[in-house]
Amino acid sequence: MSAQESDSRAADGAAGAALLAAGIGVFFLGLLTTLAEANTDFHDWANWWDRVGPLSGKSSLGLISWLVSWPLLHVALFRRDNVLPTIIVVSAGLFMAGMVLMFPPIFQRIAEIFLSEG
Amino acid sequence: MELTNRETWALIHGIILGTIFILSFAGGLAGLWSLRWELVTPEGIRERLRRLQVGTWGMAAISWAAVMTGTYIVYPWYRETPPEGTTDLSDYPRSLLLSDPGTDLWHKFGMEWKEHIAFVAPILATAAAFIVAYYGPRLADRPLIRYTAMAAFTLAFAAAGIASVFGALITKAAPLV
Repeated sequence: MSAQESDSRAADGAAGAALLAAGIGVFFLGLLTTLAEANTDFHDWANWWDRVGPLSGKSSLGLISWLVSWPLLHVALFRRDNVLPTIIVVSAGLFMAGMVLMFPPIFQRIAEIFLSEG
Repeated sequence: MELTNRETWALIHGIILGTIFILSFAGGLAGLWSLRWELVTPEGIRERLRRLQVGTWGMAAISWAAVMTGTYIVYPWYRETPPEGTTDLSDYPRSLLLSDPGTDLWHKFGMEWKEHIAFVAPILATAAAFIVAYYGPRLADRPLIRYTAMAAFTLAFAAAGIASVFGALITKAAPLV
């Protein structure tokens, strides 16, 4: 193992990329859950497989956002060190927002507001 | 004593895969917590790491299997729409729960939360397993990275726990037969 490889393996950027990508995936899961509840067009479009209903599209898109962002973030961050504290704060924000948006009383209330205005 | 096909898959999804994931958590967390030079010799770190890598990747794989069997095998049976005019809804759990104001929250709150939060568990378990595999013994030198893996692992457990509890309670209220 070369010195440079050794250094990049010790840098905290790869852990940051894994954490941030997970935060993005959770955030998109929450966002799409609320969107499917508040918007009938998206609700119907997300029905990728009838037997599972809109959950098939919502969950697949959430997982795609995670799987696409992870390698991109990894390439961008794996050599960088001391980025983890900032990434923890950003990821925690994304994670909490995603969790709030997939909590039924919240997304059902948001949907009521949007559907009543529509 | 026999199980129907649906009951068998519900058992595999909830009792076998879900329970293995939740029961393995304590071992994984303890392994990560004690991965410190002041507690373990270099040989001990190497030995623990092999176990930890197998354990964390195994848990990530099990959580994916639990979520995928739940979403694509068990959930379609749960949400099947009964034919027009059906009065006995016992084969249609979602419709059965929604037919009674005393049970409809099991679907509107319980299942609606469970079906989404379940996906958080494998995402975070995979991130934790990757961090353990990528950094290996360096985890003992970098506490913040180790704490990050522990946090991801713990949140994965919490998400799986919420999904499992609601899965068990919903199955009790409207069994999949």
